Amino acid sequence: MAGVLAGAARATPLLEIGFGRVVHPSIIAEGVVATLGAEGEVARIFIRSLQPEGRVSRIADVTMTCGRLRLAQVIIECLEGSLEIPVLGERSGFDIAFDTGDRTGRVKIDSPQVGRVDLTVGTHAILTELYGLPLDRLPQVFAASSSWSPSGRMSGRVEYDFGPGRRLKASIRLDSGGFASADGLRAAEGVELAVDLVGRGQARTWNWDADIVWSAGEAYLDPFYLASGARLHLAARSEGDRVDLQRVSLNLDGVEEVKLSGELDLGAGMLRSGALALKGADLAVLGPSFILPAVAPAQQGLLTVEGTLDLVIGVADGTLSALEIGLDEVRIARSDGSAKVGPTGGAVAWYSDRAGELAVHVAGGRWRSLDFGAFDLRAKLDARSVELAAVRIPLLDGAVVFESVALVRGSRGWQGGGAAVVEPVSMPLLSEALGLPRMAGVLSASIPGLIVRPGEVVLDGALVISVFGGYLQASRLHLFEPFGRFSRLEADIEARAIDLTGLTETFSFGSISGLIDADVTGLELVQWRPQRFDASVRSSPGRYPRRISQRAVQNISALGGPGAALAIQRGVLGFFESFGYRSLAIGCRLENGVCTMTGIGGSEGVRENGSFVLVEGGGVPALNVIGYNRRIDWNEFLDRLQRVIASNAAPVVQ
Amino acid sequence: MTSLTKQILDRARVILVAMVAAFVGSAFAQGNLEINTPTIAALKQSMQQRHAALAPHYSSGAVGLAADGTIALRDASGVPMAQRGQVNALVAAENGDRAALYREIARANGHPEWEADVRATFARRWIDRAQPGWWVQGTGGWARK
Repeated sequence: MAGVLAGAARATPLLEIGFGRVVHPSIIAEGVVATLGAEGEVARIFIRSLQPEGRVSRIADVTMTCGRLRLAQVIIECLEGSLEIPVLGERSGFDIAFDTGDRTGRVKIDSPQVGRVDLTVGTHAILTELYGLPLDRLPQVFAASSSWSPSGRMSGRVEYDFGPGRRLKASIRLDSGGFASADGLRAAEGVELAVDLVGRGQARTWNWDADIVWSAGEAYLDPFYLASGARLHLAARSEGDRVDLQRVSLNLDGVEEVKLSGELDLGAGMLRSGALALKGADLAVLGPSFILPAVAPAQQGLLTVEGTLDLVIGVADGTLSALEIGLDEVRIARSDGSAKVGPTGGAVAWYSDRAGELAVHVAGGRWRSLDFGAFDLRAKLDARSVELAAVRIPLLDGAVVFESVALVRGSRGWQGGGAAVVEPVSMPLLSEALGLPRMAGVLSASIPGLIVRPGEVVLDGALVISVFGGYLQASRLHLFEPFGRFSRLEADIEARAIDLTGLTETFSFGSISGLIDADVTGLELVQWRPQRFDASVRSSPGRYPRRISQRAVQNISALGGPGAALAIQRGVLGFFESFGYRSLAIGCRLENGVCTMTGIGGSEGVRENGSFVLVEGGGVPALNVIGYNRRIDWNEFLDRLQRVIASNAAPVVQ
Repeated sequence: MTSLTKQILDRARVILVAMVAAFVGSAFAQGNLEINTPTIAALKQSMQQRHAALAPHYSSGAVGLAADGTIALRDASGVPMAQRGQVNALVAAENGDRAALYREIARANGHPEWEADVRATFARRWIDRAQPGWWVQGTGGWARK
């Protein structure tokens, strides 16, 4: 049969042929009905179901109508036709030519909305050329893509050779591409992507080589924000849902080399096993984008990281199985300058199924105004535990030593314990480092019971400072939320036989001779500022010289505020350089920002009129300093103290 | 051991567990959730300051109040791509403060073991007090209040 039909119009078709099932290596058509010369059209082919090979959804009710039809022996040409696929919504221009003899042909589909697709079917190959195919229609063909809301336009060519040595070659370009998961936690916008892919099939196996260049756009893969500029090369082997990633290398800004290998399960959408290796990663570049969002998301913008990192991440059975980290010249610092560590170098190896170790050298660091020296950190690591070897952290001329520290990670966080010692640190160096007046003495500590609980560190032992001829001992030390923004320290402090001469001269408080004892119970520091305590300072028992200078008297009365008074005429005060005293005491119970003061005798020493004696005179002339204002704002009290200490001028007594 | 004996012992065990649970529950019911310490005050102030930055994201639905007493970046699609990381950092900082707050309230009551109860109570309280239009997580998942 040979001939051309154009614009025929008949009440009944010339011919109607039905095919139950037409099978081609790349496509299966079912319910095919070809109608020739029906009313108002030349020829029509209706396909109830079209199932392309691969992961493409079944396409239903495809109607192809020909404007011109040529039938010549084995040649069928349907030209100036239209293609209607209900799921895509609109008609497209359509040309088809098919040689039924050798089963070759070509198809052209063109639509302003859907773009243009040219399909050339050879004896052993199909060539598909895409011109601006809109990806937002993809879910209508690939149902699995519907939850990703793809967008953008795709162009390029895909050549599939289905002969004995199967081969697929694709060169695809994506313009203004993007996707978004329903929750927006994985999304991309404005993506320009070029993909060159070659696949070679053998039996059920495919070997793939791909180059992907991401030249524009941005993406957010929670918690990482990514900008364009990456280039990826991939070599893989696939069989069914299983993809064996043999070699994946990624060129990424700030990383010398990124390699990935492993096994992907496309059915489950997960990496079953594999290893990601980063070499020469510049932490100044990768820190803000990758490290901090993953490791310390709340600290982004508050921490700076620099140095070089090598990293291997291993995955087995879909879970993290190994972590190998190499550090070189790594520095970590708080942006406000309050703390820094480094440079640091060394290695960390952690495995889920066997023992690992940590060996890191820290060249030094700073915590607030205290510099600490170089030390080596070594530990045995297990899946959920750390056993730290003794570590000695030099601090000024002494050191902080941690011994037998072992921690286990539980459901609520880390817990465990060990012991700590502070080897003697000289107070002149420490006071200077803390910006305090230079003080003689030594600080040391012995903490035999260091207990770590989630959000809490208990120091069961004592920290002792021998200073001003006496000692000061801190005990019942509890540190809460040590790594939080509102770390809190609780302690009790006991001081005995502190020489007032040295103390008052050091702090420019005038001159007082004598000894004092002090007890501070329930001390609570939040962000290192006192928030609560019950303190009493008083003359030590015993016999020793007790004199107080004119200036010290003035300062004590100034601390008491406007309500404080001297039980002596100011005129008389001016005649004497110093006075004898029998006893002195000051107490302060701090709560809610208010210091409730007491004097000699504590609460019991407060008189009916609310006054209290701070200094009880002895000898002639008798001098008493009496406070009347028991409740003083703590910040105001600190201001007064600072003013008193800062004022080096000789007091003016009128 | 006869099956009757075993049944009696099992029943006794259940009753004992229920009694302990009831005791712990009633003990927690006497806890003071309004207790104030300097740390609690500092945490609340920090959260209050952060609230101004989070409020637009609660209103837009980007951030929701989760059933476990945390907040979650539940729908970032309305947030410009480059800012999603910042919102994530805000959420992480808020959750850090919330976790510290629950621990601190339990400690301040003298019962650190109440932390989970404090968290659960606060979770209900945050959700009850959420403004209309905010997203909250219930037993059926996320829903707009």
